[in-house]
Amino acid sequence: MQGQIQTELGSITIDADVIAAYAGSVAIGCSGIVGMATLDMRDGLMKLLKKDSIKRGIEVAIEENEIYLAFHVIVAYGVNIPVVSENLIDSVKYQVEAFTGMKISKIDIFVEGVRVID
Amino acid sequence: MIRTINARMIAKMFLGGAKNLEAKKEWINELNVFPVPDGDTGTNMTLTITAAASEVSSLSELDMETLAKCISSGSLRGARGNSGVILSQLLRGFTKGIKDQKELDVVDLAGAMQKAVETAYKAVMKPKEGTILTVAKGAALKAAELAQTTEDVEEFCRLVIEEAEAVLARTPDMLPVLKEAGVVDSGGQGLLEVLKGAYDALLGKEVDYSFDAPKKESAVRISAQTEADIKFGYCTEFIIMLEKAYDEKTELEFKAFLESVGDSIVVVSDDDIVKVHVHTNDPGLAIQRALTYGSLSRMKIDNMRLEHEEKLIKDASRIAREQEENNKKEIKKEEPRKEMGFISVSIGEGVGEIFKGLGVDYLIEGGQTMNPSTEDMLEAIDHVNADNVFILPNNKNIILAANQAGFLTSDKRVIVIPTKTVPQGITAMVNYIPEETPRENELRMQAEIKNVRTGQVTYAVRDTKIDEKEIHLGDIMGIGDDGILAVGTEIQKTALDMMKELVDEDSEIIGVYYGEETSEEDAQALGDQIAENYPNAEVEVHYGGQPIYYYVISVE
Repeated sequence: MQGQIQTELGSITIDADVIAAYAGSVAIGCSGIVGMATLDMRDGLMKLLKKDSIKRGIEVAIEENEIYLAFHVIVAYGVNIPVVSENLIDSVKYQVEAFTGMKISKIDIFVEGVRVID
Repeated sequence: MIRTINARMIAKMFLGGAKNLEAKKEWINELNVFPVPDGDTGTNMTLTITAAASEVSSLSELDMETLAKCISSGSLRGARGNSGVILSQLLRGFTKGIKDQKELDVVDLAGAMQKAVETAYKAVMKPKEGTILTVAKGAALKAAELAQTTEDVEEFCRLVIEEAEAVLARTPDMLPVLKEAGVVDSGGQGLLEVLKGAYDALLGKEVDYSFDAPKKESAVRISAQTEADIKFGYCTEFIIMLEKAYDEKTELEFKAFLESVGDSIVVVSDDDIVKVHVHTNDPGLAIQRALTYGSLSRMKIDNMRLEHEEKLIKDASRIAREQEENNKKEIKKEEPRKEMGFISVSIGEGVGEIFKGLGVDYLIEGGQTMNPSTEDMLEAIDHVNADNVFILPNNKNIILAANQAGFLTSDKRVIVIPTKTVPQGITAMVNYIPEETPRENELRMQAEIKNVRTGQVTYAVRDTKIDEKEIHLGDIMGIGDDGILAVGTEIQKTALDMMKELVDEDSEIIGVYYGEETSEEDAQALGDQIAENYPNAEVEVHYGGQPIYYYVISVE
């Protein structure tokens, strides 16, 4: 899956993985998000991922050159979850659209777990 | 020299901090890098801290543990925006550090500040330096140093604040965006104002500590009825769907009958239905009589004697809520339950009138500066007596609260149409067809709002550079759905420049809503000019009454 931007001289192609990686780096800067989670195929448990596997907690789909993103996140205990999610959506939308030059059609947030951090 | 402070003083300092932040919130909003005059940080942090402050100021028991819990949970619930979330984390950590003490000395304070910083840093995977986090960290480090050299709480606070100011002044060197815009970090500034306000309170400066009491007050009232006094034990309610002739005379006869079998009688009727409420010892009699007028629905019979105990407790919050509702609304007949109801968020008087005219049942005053909370939404849903309740948020910040409210509502189906601007909301309402099903309406509205392009004309509160456009204080900006479309020095000209970006050959209808700062003549003149420039489109000018935005223009 790729996003495409046309210029006068040709086209720029952005791979979905790049978008996922960038979206991930935005997500880890949001207060309240302490990890990304994914479904382990073998035993169906939610696992906490290490920093370098961040993009596996993020789904990207590109349709008609618009980006759909889903984040599977783990939040900190003691934060306001809807507000943290909204902040994530706002930051990601602004940053990814500026970074890629493409439009985001939808962002879903799945709060997969809560982690007590102190 | 003050060596220790107690819970009472901490509470005072907290309230002082909150009040100072509230006083400075507009200025802090202006420090935001985006130049629209309704930016968030000051407002968000203020909402967060005043939610906690209201709870603190209504505390009757003032011990450290209760105070700590109040501050922590109040700010968690009231948190808004990213800066609000971080502030709530700082407060959470700080209160964890103080809750087990009776009195705090500088060592305790330094420890609590350290805990605050740890909590805030641990709540994010990749902390950003040059923000409120950096200022907090700097202050905490200085505090740790000072705790070793001084015992004087006043001196301690003064020097910590000095350090915080120094760190704040360095934030433009840490974040290029701040340097480019020529400002310090707004979140950091907000934190500094809280610290300064707390320090002023410590010094005993005169501050008005009043905060509006939290919205839901439970007034516990002793019920007038004791078990022995409940004369008629069954609270009986139902609705009669009229099938026979029912006029005033019939109603009087019916009421008289009910009076012979019970008391607390309420009979309210309109053309199709009668709502009946009566306390009686034989509900069957009331129901039998009612059946002679038509069929019954929504029947509810409660045994009041059994429920008396629970009633005392439930009554308290119910009475408080009813009092609130009665104070707000005129007494009107209860509306019959209908299939579809509408809630819309409005930003101006004229806009509100337009929505009401289109059939909106309940308006929430909102917009950019005020973010209605999920609770406000739930209250609105409560007021609309329909099986399917549509919500038009008209602002992207509010869509989430609306969805949240929908998720929490179980007795009605809540449908959120994701309108991001008022013109989209208006288009959605215009496309409401009562004869169609809720689902069909939902699909049509969602499709139609995509065709609406919105432009908003307002003024810049600071100089800045954004989207490669240079903007100066007082400039007029035309903002579209995705960014700034036009910049200029005159309102009419900038609006027309913005229109160039919004209108194309397919545009058919242009709606111009003028705000409270715009005169009718100017609005009409603009409308005429637009009509001249785009003869294929129909132009309508309406009074919107919104603050801050001179014009909100929709193009379809």
